[in-house]
Amino acid sequence: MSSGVAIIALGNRFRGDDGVGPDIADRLRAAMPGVAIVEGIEDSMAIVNAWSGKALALVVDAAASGAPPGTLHRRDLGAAPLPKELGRCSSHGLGLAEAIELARVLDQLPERLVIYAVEAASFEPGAPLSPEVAEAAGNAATLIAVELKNA
Amino acid sequence: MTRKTIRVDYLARVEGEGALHIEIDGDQVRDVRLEIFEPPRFFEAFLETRAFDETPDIVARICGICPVAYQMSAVQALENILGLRVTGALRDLRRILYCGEWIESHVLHVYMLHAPDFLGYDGAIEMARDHPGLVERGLKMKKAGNALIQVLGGREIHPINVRVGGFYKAPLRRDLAALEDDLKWARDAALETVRWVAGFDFPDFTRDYEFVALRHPDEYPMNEGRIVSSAGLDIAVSEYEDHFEERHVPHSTALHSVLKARGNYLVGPLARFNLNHARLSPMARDIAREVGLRAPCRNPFQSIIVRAVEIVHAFDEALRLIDGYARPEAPALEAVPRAGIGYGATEAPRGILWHRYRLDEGGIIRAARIVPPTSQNQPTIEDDLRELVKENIALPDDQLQWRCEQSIRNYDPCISCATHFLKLDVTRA
Repeated sequence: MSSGVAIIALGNRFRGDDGVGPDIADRLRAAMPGVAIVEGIEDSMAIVNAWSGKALALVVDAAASGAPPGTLHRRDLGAAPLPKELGRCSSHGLGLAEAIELARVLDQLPERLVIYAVEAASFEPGAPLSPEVAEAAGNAATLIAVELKNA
Repeated sequence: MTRKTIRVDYLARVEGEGALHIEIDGDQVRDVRLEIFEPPRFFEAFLETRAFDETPDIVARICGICPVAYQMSAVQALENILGLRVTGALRDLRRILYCGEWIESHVLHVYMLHAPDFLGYDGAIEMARDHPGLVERGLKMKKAGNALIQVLGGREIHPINVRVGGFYKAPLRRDLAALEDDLKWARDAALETVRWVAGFDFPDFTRDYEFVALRHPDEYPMNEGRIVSSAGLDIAVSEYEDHFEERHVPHSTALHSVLKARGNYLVGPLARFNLNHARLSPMARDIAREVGLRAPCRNPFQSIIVRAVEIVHAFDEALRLIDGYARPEAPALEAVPRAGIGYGATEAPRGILWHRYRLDEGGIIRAARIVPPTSQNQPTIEDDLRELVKENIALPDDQLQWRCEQSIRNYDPCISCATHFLKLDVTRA
């Protein structure tokens, strides 16, 4: 039986808008004290281990798809196979896409997998989040909090 | 005579960004360059003017695969300045944490990055389709290693619990004891992993390396030791700069390390095993003997067997230390700043990771130097490729390229660390 929720924040806090995943994680922790969030992992095995057996996994990440900066992408994968456009949705396309495919082959996908990705403007080392990305991060955190309450 | 170039612009299944360029003129190899173009990361400069006690959290950010190694070399160097000697349960906890990192890093490499080479798959996902049980075993072993880092480091990646003098919080005995059943399962799985990888077909390829590793009087090296080599080098960690130097080469943003007296050398699992096999745990020694792994092992492709043996050792060592653990009264020794220069070296999963720091009397870092394992191995990786291309020059380009990429993966190069990825390009002229 699958149970529970895994929240996985991908991205590097020290690479400009790549830090939007961890930033959303901070906002969720502030809004929902005690919420468990897995942060900082990039290798596909660790991602699969984080969501295996869960009813719901929420992944937050930066996107580099060519959409206007600050665009919030939401993909609800259910138990469906990896959609082709995913690699263009996450800035860590390889690790995440590989994790999804590996989990699918091994039957270790969560019952539902939802990816929130915010389109980045810049990955400049040491830069803060761009204003439009920070605003989208706030919106993503609000939407995720609602989604978690209804999960 | 034909001239040709083999170029791989994007090396898969390595950590970081690099490329390979090989030029062949008839039956002569003209040039081999492992090009590392990840931007330099200037961590040593970031550290200057920071307080000594910030170091473990800053250096953990150099690498998502081996943050513990950076923390362990850093605290050793800083404790060397402050006159602290971490012993007993605190030292054991550090060693358990390091075992967790060896397990995570080695299992990821053996199962996801390296085994597909020997079984003829493009990657782990293709391998998992035919052998789901094997990859599931790897996932579960890695999870057991993660759990050690989670309990001791406060979280799985970039641990936040390490400090100069010890830890911020020492775990309860029951927190570690709760991991024992999973660790025992994983140790058995690690024995099966050694039997599995030892059965692979290995290219007939050996080289006469100078192996360099730490040596401790009675432990398989991890946290500390003298720096020794197969050519008789035996020096204190503080003497490293007298014997080794880093050189800049135009095609790499990572520096190349060489022995001043003799040139290129090799660090990592093969070097550790060849110089220290007698100090492996009895279970790890027995399984090495069972599968016919003997020192000196000079075939870099067989490093996958050595990694698997080291996984057995790491699980066994973690279990032994957990069994004897009693929570220390204080989680750390008191660290009082003072001026000085300190040195630290530990065995990261990929080999020796050397650090030097200079502190002022207020404990502010005035100079830092970090030498990661991949930059030490980079010239040797190029030597391997040169020999390999020479011996396999008649192979069609696609097969030659495959063999070269596999050869690079023998080292599990962590290019992110070395710069502080990989493109391959073979030119035949």
